[in-house]
Amino acid sequence: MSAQTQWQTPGEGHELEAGAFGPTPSVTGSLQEIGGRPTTYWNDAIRRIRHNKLAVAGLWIISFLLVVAVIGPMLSPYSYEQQDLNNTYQSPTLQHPFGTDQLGRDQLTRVMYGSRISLAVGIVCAALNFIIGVTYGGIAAYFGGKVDEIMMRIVDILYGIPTLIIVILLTVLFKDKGVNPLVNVFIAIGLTYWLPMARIVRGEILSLKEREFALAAKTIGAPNSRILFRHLIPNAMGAIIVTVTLEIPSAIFTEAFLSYIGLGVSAPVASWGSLASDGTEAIRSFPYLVVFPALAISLTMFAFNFLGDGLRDALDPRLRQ
Amino acid sequence: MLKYFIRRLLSMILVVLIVASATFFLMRFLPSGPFSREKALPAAVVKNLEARYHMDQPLWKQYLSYIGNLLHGDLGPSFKYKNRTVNSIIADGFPVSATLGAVAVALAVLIGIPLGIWGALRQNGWQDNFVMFLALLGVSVPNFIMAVLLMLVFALGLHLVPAAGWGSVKQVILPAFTLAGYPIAFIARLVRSSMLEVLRQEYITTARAKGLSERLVIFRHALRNILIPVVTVLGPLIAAVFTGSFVVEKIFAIPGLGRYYVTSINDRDYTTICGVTIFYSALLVFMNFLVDLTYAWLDPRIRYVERKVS
Repeated sequence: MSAQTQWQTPGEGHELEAGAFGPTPSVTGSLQEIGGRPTTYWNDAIRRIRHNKLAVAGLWIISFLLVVAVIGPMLSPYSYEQQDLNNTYQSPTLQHPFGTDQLGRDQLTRVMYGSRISLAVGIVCAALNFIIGVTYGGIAAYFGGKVDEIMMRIVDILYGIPTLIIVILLTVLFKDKGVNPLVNVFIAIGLTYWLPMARIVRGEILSLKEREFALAAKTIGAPNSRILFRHLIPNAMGAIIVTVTLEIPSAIFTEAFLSYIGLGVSAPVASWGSLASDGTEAIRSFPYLVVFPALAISLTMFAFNFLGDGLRDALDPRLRQ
Repeated sequence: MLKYFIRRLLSMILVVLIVASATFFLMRFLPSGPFSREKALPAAVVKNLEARYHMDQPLWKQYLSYIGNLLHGDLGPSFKYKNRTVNSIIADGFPVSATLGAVAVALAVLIGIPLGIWGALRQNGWQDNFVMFLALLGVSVPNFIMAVLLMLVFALGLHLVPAAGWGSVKQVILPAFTLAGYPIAFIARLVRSSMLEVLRQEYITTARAKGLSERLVIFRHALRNILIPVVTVLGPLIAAVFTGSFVVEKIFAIPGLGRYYVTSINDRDYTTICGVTIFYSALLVFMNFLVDLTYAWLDPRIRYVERKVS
């Protein structure tokens, strides 16, 4: 409502009446009723996410996977490495719902065990993204000038190098140094996957640090670290969460890819990538061996991408339509 | 433009040099040399081998000669195959990979763009939901899984195309679609969202107000502005196609560079790993450069006179 219409509303022909000079009736109550309950950024986001069926489905799938990863292998009567050479290459049955592999190991247990590895990779990737990417991008943007120039030039150069090639190279070298293959995958992912996060956080902080609340914090003498970590970064949390959610499936993919080409976990440990790789070898005769790990990994990536897409729609105000 | 060109050229060289140096030093710091086998070789043999590969010289000398050879385009001998050089391996494998990659990128553009436009024109209709679902599927299914599933269905199940091999047109279909899966999905999503944005702009309203047919509005006016974001993502997508070729070539038994790369990883053929890594990095950096130039050519507003740190 513009100021002009407000002035014109009381009388039709602008005639002054005695009643027009009385005290203004209190309207706060009714105004609040019209406006509905006050909402916050996060309440708003949660409401939007709930309406996005695919995102909710993604969240359910991820929760299910977490439960399976934690308790699945414990409930199984078999262990992931327990061989049964009398029952190799069994088709799916009640005893072995996903069948057994070339050494008679229960495929369901191995796929459930694989979910532990994939989710661990996802969690580690997310944590490293938070620790390295957010801090790096935040510091570059907050201090600006030469610091920003140098830090971002480094990111630009690293960006120019294809991630997967670097990851492969690092994994080859670490693996031969005798580092635990899984740790090795963590290191390789940790060293490379924080780059997009650093860029996004930098972009957010660059605009946030010009806002009044940042100035206010500075005026009352808050130290730089407090302004950055308590004021600026929490305000960039929407973009950070979206980026993390979308980085997780690509980290999970990378681990599976590395295991698939023989650089990830080594036998008898089962990862979805190595299971799919073993299954591919026997694809002509025993296709079910590759189908279940393939479904598991696709479903997981699906779920994270659905959730990430939904979160982006819910949290990123620039994309609202 | 020229200033920008030179600046990009220098940064390209810098990136390749960093990759080359990093691979070189990482390789030399390995605890076990490339000649350590299960059966220990006699000391004299090791010595001769080290002399052949100049590993008896001080590290800085080795480094300088490696970089020097690199500047001449010489990536050195292969550790595994006695009479082959890394250059000859690349010369053998790369044409195959490049053919496959080019087909995949072409498929991605020719399928992805129409899919995206279709989705945008039927926004929120079932067609749109279908396109978006397909796109999310394409982004989510890893390429090696896609390869296996396509092979199971179309080669082993329906017997429409050969399961593996290289040489005939039919054998290109499955691997090319596998590699194109992710880029198709990516481009379709991108085109859909940019199309929705472009269609809301005023020049589109003007075009419609002039009485142009919807076909002309979309293909003459809207499409041009959609091509720009598509071109910008082509760089990363080409990278995805190349790295995808590592597994896809292995699964479909295609004698391309990707398969040699994976084989050399499993054989610990260090000079080949190193050389092919540098080659891939140089190639991708160069592709990104080309993409940026195309970008400047497509969008007259971008002339790169002065590039601010963004």
